[in-house]
Amino acid sequence: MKWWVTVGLTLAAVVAQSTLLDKVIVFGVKPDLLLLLAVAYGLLYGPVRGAAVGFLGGILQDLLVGRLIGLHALSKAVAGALAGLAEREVFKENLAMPFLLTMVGTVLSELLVYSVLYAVGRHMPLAQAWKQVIVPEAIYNAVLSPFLYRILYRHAPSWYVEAEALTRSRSSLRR
Amino acid sequence: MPRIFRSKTFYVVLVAAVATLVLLGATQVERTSVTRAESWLTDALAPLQAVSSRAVRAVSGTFDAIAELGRLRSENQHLREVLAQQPGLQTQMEELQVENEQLRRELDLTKRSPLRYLSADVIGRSSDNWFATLTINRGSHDGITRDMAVVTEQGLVGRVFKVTGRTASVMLLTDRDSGIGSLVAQSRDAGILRGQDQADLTMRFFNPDAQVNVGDQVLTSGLNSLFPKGIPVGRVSQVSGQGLVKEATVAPAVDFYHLERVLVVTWSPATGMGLPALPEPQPSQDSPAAPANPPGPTETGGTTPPQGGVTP
Repeated sequence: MKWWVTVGLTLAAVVAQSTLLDKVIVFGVKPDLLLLLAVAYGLLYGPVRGAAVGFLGGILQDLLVGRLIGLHALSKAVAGALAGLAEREVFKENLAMPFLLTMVGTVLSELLVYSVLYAVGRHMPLAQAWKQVIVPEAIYNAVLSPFLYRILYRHAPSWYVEAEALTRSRSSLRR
Repeated sequence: MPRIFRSKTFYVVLVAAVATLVLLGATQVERTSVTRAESWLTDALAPLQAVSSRAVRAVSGTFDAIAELGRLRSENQHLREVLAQQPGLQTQMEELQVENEQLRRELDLTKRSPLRYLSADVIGRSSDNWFATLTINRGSHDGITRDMAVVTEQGLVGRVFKVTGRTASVMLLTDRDSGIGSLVAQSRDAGILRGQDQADLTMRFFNPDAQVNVGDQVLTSGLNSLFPKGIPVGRVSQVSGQGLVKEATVAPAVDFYHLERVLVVTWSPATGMGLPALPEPQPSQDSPAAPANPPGPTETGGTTPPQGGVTP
C-alpha cells in the first residue's frame, strides 16, 4: 500500500476516533481504530510496518489529546510489531488470525498504557481497569478486526499478494 | 557482533523508543503551554473534527427521531384530545408568555449574574478509554485560557487544560486527574470531589462528621480559586466511610455523554480570570438572555446557567 494512503488512513482514523466512535460505545468502551490499523498492517506487512503505523497513529493521538505524549505511540507500536512477528507464521487469508492477534495486541497494549499511567500516579485499581477498559475493549476490537483486515487485505498491492502465495506454496512443497 | 546490531532498523527503533520515553517523562506533569506541533495538529484537524461531529450528530439525530416516532404519535393523539377539551388554553398560554417576558425584563437577569460566558460547540471527544476529555471550537483567539471553568445549563462540566489558537481541550469532572473543591448545599460541609473514570464522582469531606444525606445538592466551593462558587456539580447518591474518612458518591448534574454545546466561564468576580477588559454586558431589549456585545462571537454576559446554584 502506498505510503500516502497509509498516512491518509491513519489521519482519518484519528479524526473518527475522536468523533464518530463516541456514538458506538458498547459496554462503556469505544473501539480503538488506530490499534486495529496497526495490528492489521503488522499482520499484512511485517513488524516494521506494523510498528511504524502504530507509532504514527499513536503519536498523532497523543498530540491531539495533549497529555502524556508518547503513551499511545509506544503502546500501539508494540502491538503492531507483535502482530508483525506472526506475519510469516500464519495464513493471512484466515480471518481468525486478526481476531486473535487483535485481542492479544489490545490486552498487551492497554496493559502497557495502564502500567505507564500507574507509574505517573494515576492509580486506577487493576481490577477496575481490567473489567472496565481492557477486557471489553479487547473483545470489541477483536470483533471488528476481521472487517478492517479484509478491506486492507483486498487492497494490498497485487505484487504483494502474489509474492505471498509463492512463498506459501514453496514452504508447503518443502514440507 | 550479533547481526541485530548491524541492522539499520534496530537503531531506528532504538532512537524512536528513547525519544518516546523522553517525551513521556517530559509530559507526565500537567503543562502550562502546548508545543507548536500539538497546536498545529490540533488546529489543522479541528475543521475535520467539526465536520465529522456534525455529520455524526445529524445521522444519530435521524435514528433517534425514527426511534421516537411511535412514542410521538401516541403523545400527539393524547395532546390533541387534551387540547380539544381546553379551548381557552392557547390564549391563556400566550398571555402567560407575555407576562413572563415582562417579568424577565424587570428582573434584568443579565445584570444580576456575576459570571460571563462564551458558548462553544463540542467538536471532539477523548480518543481512548482512559481519559475523559472533550475538544471545543474556541481557543486562545477567542480569549480562552487554561483553567477556565466549563459549564452547561445543568451544571459544571470541567475545566480547560489545553488551549490552541482555535480549540481548547476540557478535562471532564469524571477524569481521574480532576479534583475540585466542593460543598454540600444543605449543610455547607466542604470537601474535594474527584473523578474515578466512572459515571459517578467521589467526594471526600474535610470534616469526618460532615452532615450529608442522599439527595443533597453538591456545589463548587470556590476554595481552589479555579471555579466560581455555587455552580451545581451533582447530587449525593450514596454516603460511605467511617471514622476519620467520610465519603459520598455524587451523581453529576451534567449528562456527559450527550454534550453538544457548552459555556466557558470567561470571567467571574471570584476568580477574576479570563477577559476582565470586556465591557459590561448590555441586556437586550427583546430578551435578557440574549448574547451581549463583547468581541467574542457568542460572548454572553450572565445568562441563567447553571441553574439551581447559589450566588457567590
